[in-house]
Amino acid sequence: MKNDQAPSTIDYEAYVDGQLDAARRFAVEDHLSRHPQQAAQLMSDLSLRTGLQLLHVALPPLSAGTAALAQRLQQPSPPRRRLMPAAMVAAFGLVASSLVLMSWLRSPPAYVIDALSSHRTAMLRATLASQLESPGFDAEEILRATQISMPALPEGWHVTDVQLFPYPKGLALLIAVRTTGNQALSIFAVRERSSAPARPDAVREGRQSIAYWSENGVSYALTGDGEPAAIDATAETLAALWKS
Amino acid sequence: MAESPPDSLFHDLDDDLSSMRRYARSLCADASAADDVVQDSLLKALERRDSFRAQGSRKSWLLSIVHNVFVSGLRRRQAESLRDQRFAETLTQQLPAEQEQQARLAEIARSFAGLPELQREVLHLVAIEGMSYQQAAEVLSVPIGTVMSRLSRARAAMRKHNDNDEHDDAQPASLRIVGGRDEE
Repeated sequence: MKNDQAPSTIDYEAYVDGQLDAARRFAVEDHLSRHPQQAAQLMSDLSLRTGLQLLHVALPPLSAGTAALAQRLQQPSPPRRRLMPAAMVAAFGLVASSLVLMSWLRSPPAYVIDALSSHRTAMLRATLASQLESPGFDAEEILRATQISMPALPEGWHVTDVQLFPYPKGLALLIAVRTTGNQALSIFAVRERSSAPARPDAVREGRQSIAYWSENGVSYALTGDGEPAAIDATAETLAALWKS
Repeated sequence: MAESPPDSLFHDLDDDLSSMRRYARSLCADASAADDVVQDSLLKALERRDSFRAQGSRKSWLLSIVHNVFVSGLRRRQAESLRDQRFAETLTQQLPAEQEQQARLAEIARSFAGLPELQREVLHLVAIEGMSYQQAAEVLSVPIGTVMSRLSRARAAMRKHNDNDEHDDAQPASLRIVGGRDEE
């Protein structure tokens, strides 16, 4: 059998993975047809693959949240800018690649990513008719219930949504606000000591920027569309206002 | 799902959604964590929908989002501890009761669940989702050679697991395929 060249490892693996064109597939099969022991190994490898497929046929029932989001993704892209309320622009704004996300994850404290995702969820909630916002906000009550102090907001800002949700060390609070300039921002606060500085620092992720700082054992983040410098300046104002 | 206009690049999402859910489950090794990853991924897909190009593979695009959401989040660490035991059980629980070769499938489930994350994710994409090496490389953002070597190691680990459990065959088949001369 002068020409009965055994397939290379690469060809063999590629055969199992269904990656070969007909000519190379034929070469592998022709060889194996004369080598029963290797052919049996191939069948065993193929059965691993088929077994894995069988194991993944069934999926648990789709959760309502996932179904709603999938439904939303199937709708045509909403017209941008002109007809969209500002909140939707924020929620659907272009986001830089996750590489950017991961590169800045190294420096800011971990809760900043949660602040960002809560912000986006809040902006999405604002666009969903079935999700009622809860704009009632009572700083005293929140403080009593969560030990998170949320001092007064600047004059002219109004609260559009307040959400409390579980966090590894207690509760996190998210307050969505609309500023006097009609900008949609969110303030995220969690009772957790973190590496966040006392004076706000800001980072950017896609269209949003997040300023983060801490005060008296509470870590805060301010998230909104725009340049980090602008969000940072707003956060400085807030932090200063709260100190006074 | 309800009718959606034909102009949407995201119509008929069911199959791709199932792919996202399966892949998230293999990554997270936990159904509810997987559901969170899928939801976060859908939110990201909504945010970035304008960056998706019609000529690209939608499934690859969506699975790469699932992948990035998983690796950039806390779930990766959670998955480490859950992977081995519960995940294999989850997979086999859903087999139809009349499925023959239950034991063999349970074995495959256990060895798959026990694979290191980097091998499991690539094996999932190629074996379960039927992706080409090139597509898997794109989803994972690694060179195609890395895909092939991880797959090869994954398969070797699963064979080893499998061989350890074989009791009847006297002579194990040779695992070496280069230069096989058994019939000459």
